[in-house]
Amino acid sequence: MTRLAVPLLGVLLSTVSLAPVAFAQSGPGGRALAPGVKVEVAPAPGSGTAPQPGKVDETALRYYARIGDVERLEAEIARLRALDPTWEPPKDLFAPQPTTAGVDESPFWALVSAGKIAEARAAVAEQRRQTPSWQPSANLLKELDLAEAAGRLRGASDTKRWQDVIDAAAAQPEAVACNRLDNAWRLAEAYAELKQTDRAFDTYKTIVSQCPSAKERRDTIFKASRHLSQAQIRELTALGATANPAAGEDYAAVRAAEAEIETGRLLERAGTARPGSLSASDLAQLERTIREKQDSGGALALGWYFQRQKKYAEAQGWFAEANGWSPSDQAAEGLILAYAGLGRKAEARAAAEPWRGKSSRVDQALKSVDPPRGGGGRPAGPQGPSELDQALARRDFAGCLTAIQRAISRSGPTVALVQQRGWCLLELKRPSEAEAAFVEAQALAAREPVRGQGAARNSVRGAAEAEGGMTRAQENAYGQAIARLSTGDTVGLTQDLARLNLTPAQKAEVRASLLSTEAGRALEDKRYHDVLRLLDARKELVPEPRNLGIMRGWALYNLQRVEEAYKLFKSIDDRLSTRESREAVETSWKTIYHDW
Amino acid sequence: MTTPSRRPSRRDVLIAAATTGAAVAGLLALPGPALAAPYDAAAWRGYARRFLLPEGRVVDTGNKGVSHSEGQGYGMLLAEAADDREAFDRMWGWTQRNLMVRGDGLAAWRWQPDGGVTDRNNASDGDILIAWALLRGAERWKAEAYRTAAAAIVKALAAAVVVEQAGMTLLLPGRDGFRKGDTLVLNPSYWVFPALRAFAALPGAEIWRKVADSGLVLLSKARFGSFQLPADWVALDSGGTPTVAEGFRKQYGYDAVRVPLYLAWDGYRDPYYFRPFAMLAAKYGGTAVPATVSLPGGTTTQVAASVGMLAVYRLASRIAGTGNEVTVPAFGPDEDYYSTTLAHMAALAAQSLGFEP
Amino acid sequence: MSGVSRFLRLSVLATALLTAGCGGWVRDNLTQSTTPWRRVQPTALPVSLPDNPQFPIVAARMRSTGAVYKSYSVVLGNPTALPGENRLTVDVQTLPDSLFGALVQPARVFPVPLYTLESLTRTLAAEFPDMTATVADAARRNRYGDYDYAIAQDEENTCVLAWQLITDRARMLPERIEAVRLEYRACGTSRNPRVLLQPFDGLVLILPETVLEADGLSGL
Repeated sequence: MTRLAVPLLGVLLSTVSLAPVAFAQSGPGGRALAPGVKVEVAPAPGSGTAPQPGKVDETALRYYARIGDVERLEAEIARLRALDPTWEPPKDLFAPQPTTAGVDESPFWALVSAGKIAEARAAVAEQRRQTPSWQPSANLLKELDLAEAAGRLRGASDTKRWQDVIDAAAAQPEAVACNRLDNAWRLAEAYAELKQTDRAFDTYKTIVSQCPSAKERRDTIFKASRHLSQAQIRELTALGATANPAAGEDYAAVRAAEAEIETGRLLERAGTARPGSLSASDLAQLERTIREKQDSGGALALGWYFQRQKKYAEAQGWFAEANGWSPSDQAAEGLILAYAGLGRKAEARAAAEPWRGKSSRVDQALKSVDPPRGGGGRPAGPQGPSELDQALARRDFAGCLTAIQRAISRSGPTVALVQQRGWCLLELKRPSEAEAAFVEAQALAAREPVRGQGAARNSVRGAAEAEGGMTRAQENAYGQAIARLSTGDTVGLTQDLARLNLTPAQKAEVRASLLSTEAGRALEDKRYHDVLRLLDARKELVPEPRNLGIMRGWALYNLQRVEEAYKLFKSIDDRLSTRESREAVETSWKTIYHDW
Repeated sequence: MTTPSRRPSRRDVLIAAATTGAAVAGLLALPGPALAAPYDAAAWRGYARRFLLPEGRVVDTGNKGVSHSEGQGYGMLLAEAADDREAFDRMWGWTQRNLMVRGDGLAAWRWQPDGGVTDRNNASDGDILIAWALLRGAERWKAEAYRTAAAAIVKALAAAVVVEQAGMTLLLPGRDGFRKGDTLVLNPSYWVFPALRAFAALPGAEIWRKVADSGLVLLSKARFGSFQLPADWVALDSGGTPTVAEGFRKQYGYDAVRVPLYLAWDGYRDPYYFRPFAMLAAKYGGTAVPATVSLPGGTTTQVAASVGMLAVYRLASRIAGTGNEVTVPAFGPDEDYYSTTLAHMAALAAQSLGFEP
Repeated sequence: MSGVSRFLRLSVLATALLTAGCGGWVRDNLTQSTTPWRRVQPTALPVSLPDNPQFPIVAARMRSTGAVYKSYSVVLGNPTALPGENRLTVDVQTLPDSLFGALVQPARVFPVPLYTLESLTRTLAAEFPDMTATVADAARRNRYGDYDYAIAQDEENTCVLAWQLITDRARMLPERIEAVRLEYRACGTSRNPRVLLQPFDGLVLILPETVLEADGLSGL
């Protein structure tokens, strides 16, 4: 990645002072990149208009050598070699360079390099007080001015003073460039927030056509998607995938950005959509993209979209795809419910098999296949699924409550019915009543005689045993624990956990939830060591999901273990890149390299 | 002025004074408007006549005749510079009897004619100015008692108002009330740099070097608005990020104007630290400079900078090298305590640097 | 005048501090953080509700934020099949009783104003999804003065959301209490929102010191 070239140099800022389309800068070499976009590349160290062989600009190289930034130094050497294969790094790279008036500037550069700009200013002022004849080098002053301007721009952007962002950029145009991409993004955002969409669009266009890194172009398109229309994103993607290609960069990922954004938008709509609200062509596009990328998350979302519309066959197809690409209890849950909707109970049970007793969501879903029955419940038979079955298969939890209410008023409460009421109340975000229902079920269980007839299934397995190998009493205790988790009663539950009648797997699950809640509180309280301690304990019990991985990363970050945080964020982002993970990677990366 | 004003505002008075020059020059009978007044024994006599009462109290005429620890400090500094030990002793005596009543070696910040000390909090810059004046007096008059008294104040200050935050060693504006959770409220103009340097030279007082160093860092960080001026009151969070403090006037003005004065006096010459003030003066042609600028918005007040403030701008513009001249008019007949004090301090600073006043 | 501008603030600050005592450096985040909810007996609540078979008390919880806020949540029965719990929440803001408390106040646990049109719209959409919500034009009145409310309905059910901020420290609240905030959310099968609001209309605050009722003050 080229971190040094400053190919934008003023190009971006022309959008500040000039009309949106007038991008022209002084000097020759203007290129039409796309209709309406004319960008001129200002000469920058070692880039821009045809570098003369043997005249490689080594300024930046010497700067990084002087400050001892080996990583950037190597990147710069690689970049200069790419420009001119005959070029060799100078032998005297690490030799001290002449300094002015006997003052060694390296302490100031060290501060600049550490991002301590105010400290560098103070040190320069103190030096000037002591050595009035000394003038800091123009390079140093320039670097300080730039860093300060970038700081102002960020400060204004962080506090949403959008006009100030634009003013700060105008005052120091070079603070907005490819190697300070974050500033360019903030400038574009400021335009967008001020409803100057054309200027925002122009700024994004300049970035994706001028900054060589494919990853940065792609990230820019993602950023822009918050502010631009679908058509503008399409144009931006086309530009980013073709304009000014740099050697060694693969722009395929840029090209894919538009489709990913569009998929994201459609999936979001599918998630909240009422039946039929996605057009046939939207659906077709979504399906195509999800298949292409084998995106199991997307497949799940589509599955639920169809399931809600009672299109069980389509739903089953997508849940099966999701499960095939990446088996999970979430995919199994969907499959079970879709099969239940189709009345294919044997397949539903088969889909549940790998997760039975290990996943509460699968155990719950199974109940729609073999719903609990009290004494008055109709046995499943040729007349088809019961009212409760149907409600559960539809994930219609209000319907579940109504059906149970009806069954209870018909023939009195049973443990199974009251338990199921507890689960449905939990789904309806009514945990306090759910907890009460499980307590009630437990009291009922103590009184309810073992039934030999009625539900044949129960007589086979023994009345005291419910699905998943847990007893009635265990399920009641488990339900209460889940309900208490939902009400935020972490302290009480932590105290009671040891005494509760739970299977070891349930106990581990509840304890893991408690630990992640506690870790969240610790993060809010800025007790970062505690966050790690709690997450480590949780990891002993169950694998760490993505969101907790990101939480762990922020705890590391705040403990100044930025390198570790970056590695963690990166590994999460590499598996599945989301806005959250991208921003985490970006922030930690910038902190490591002081690239704000 | 083009319109007759209903009530003469401060701005009207000022500009009238500037245009009619010596004709309305005040009691001090200083030279014409184009030059800043030098500071000399005559200037001190004029100052004492107007603001120093026989018992040794410096009166803030712009402020209902109250006295401040700051005013006592300024008065003592001016008396020392004019070699008037008798007046110096009167002020120091009054300060000890009336302000140093807290029991911790620091001075109560305000004394009112009708109630004496009603508020016992200190103002750190007042204590700093008094201690600095004592150190200078000790030097000039070879009086160890002053040095001993100064050292006690400096020690008390270090215990009461010097705090660490975000790797900086900072000065609270008073002992009580300037911490809000993790956030400190600071006043950049309380960094009287030459005084801090004098303190650091005392035995065992190296921490003042750190206070001064951190002050420079703070002044680089705490710049706001298009002029990049320091705010009168700055909030500094636990991460060391400054903002214009809430709950105060969000402005640059009567307090922060002293920032370039103290920097200049301590020998700082880096234009970076003086440019914001010079640019503000330049924008208003060096004459009717607004007295305050809201931050970060940049709205200016109708009230013009006083003669004393203009004297500071003149000094800052010289050092910034921005090429603009600031015209400092003569004092008006009722020039208030603060303006007069600033003008004399600016002249003293310039003289110590070898500038024309 | 210059001096006034410069010194006014210092004076105000310092005066406030003198009345409160001595200020020390306080670096204790945890004193401001919110504790987890814990179950309490209904008798420990600072409020009593009229008996109502539609809305029995299912659970009562409390938590505190710093030394200043105590929040109580009373979950009431929900006779409908709609998602979401019926509840009454009570936030009691006390005056800090030390300078320590005054200097490190936690952020307010409820916004003032309690709702803006935007936040109310968001809240109603979240509380009552798929229902049609309207904000009542006129306020209603309970023992502690006027309160505002909104109604949401679908074919079978009606829900109400009512909110109230009691800040009349001169006449109603004991001197130790800065403010009391109430919020009530109930869904029921009655079409008449007044029936649903009945618990809120009839609630009585029970704080250690007496809260005077608004109607008793009208003659004063």
